[in-house]
Amino acid sequence: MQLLSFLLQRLARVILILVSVEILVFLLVHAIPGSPWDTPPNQLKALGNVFMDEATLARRNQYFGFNLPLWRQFTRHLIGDVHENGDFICGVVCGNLGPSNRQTGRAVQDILFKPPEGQSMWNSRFGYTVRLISYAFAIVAITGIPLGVASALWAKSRFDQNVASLFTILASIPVFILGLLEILIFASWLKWIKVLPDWSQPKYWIIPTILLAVVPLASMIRITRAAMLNAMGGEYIRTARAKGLTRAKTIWKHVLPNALISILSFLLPLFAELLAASFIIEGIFGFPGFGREYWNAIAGLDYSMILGITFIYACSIALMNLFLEMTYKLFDPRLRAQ
Amino acid sequence: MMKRPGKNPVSTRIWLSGLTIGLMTLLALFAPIISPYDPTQMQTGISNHPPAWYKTPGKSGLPEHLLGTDLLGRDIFSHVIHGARAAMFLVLIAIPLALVIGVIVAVTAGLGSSFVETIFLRLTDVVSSVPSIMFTVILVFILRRTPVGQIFGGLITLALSFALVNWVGLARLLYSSVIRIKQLEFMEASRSLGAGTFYQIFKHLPRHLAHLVIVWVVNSIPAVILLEALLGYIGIQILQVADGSSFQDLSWGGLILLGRTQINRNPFILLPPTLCILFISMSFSILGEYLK
Repeated sequence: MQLLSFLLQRLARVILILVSVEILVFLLVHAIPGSPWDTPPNQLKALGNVFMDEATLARRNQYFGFNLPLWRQFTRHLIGDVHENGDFICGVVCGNLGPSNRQTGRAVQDILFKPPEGQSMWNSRFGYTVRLISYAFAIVAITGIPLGVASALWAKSRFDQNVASLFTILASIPVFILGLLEILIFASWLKWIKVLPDWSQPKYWIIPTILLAVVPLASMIRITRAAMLNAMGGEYIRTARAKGLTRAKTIWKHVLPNALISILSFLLPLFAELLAASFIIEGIFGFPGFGREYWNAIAGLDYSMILGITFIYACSIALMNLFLEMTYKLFDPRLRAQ
Repeated sequence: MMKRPGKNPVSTRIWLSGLTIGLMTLLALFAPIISPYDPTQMQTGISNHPPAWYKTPGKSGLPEHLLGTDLLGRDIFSHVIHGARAAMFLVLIAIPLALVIGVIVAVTAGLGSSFVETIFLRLTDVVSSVPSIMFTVILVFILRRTPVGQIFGGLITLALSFALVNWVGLARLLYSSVIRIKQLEFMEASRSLGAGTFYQIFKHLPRHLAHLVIVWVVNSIPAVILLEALLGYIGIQILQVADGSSFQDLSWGGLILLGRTQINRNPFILLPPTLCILFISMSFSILGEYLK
């Protein structure tokens, strides 16, 4: 019961944050000079710069509600509005992120979540981003924990020092430079892939996935190592060894479970961090996920697309944080008592 | 790595990074003296030449243009040197601005009324719930068409956008520290001796917050330079005048933006600014690690 009231309280807070984010981004985006019609879409450019005439412009402004006052435009986006034909069309509260201003004829949620004809849902923008993040997460967990454990077991050895300095250096290289290095290694030197990516084939994903994983991987190794060393220094470990357990058995039975707490408390918030980092990497490599869609939208001033993507990011990060808080509360008796 | 017997590798690394930062500062300070050409001077006969050491049958490097030329025949070596100046300018505007806003807000929120505190906490919630680069880019798009944003070849746009978003991170860091310090015994003691809030702010807070601020500054300096280069890589102009036409500014990010469009003709344009940024950011991250 107490937990439920806590959950409801936090949900209300999440909703408040989401609405504030939408208001802030809405105001900022509308402060950008220009309109979505300033730069013609690519297909118009190919036809020799046919700009819209006055009548089309007026019709479009009417359709997207650009002739309304600013606050009406916002409520139209968030809650919904009665359109010119008399129908009430619901806004973000119903999960309708509105029609895209630039990719005419498609709604934002269709562009982001609907896969191309006849393909699985993993080929939508959403699917691409989620897969990228999951692969990076898997790399961090699968290689980071063993490396961290190994460097803790052989602490201060040459292996430990080399792993530590290698990953510190890798993590301090800016992402786009590391990306160029990866292109040089995998495309020019090893010739596994071509320089121009074809994202429908999984082997091209190696570059963005490694890029995304490198920075958290360095932290993962450091945290696992520190947690292991911390657990190994405990009194109970000495007791276990004194009563005759082997070193391997002590580590499996006593050290690892204790170190796992700090490892998990790093791994769980990692999803939100990867989501934020993927945004930049998608922009640099033209990876067809949310990030690229955002960079295109902001270059062409696609108001509803920018607002929609910001909403999805804010929503997922807030919900992940809420989930984390709930799990801590469920599993840590000290927090539950508060 | 460079490891010699009898020498501590850590101190060598820090020494090298200090040297790099010092060298870049010198380049930035004496850019007009060091650079062999005016970086805006065009020579249409020699466009897109590779670096001097590069020999191909078609177009080989010119000995008088060390790092080659760009599309309009401008000297890239001079551009890189002036780029160091732009980077230093960015750092000198953006970091102090963010620092001032962040410190003032954190101290007012920590020691002031609960109303200010609530507003501050809600604001940090909002700003930290989306990747900060989303806000930064929107601010760049707003500022680059205003008269203020045109000053110093558009660099002020980037500096302001960085500062207006990144003070939040610093303020959050300092706020939690201020809250913690407020409850310590010596603050209580000084208050019981009659110390006012302002006296406490100027007497006690600086020495307890200094290390946080220093670490933040060391981490933020490469972040500003990286942001500029990143926008260059993604292809966002930071300078756009009212009629919609845009220019590259004299900076590493501008050079990257230029090299991005010329990548088929002269890929070597991308190399020097990228290396400069790599050295700078690695130096600062080594320094930051040491300070921690």
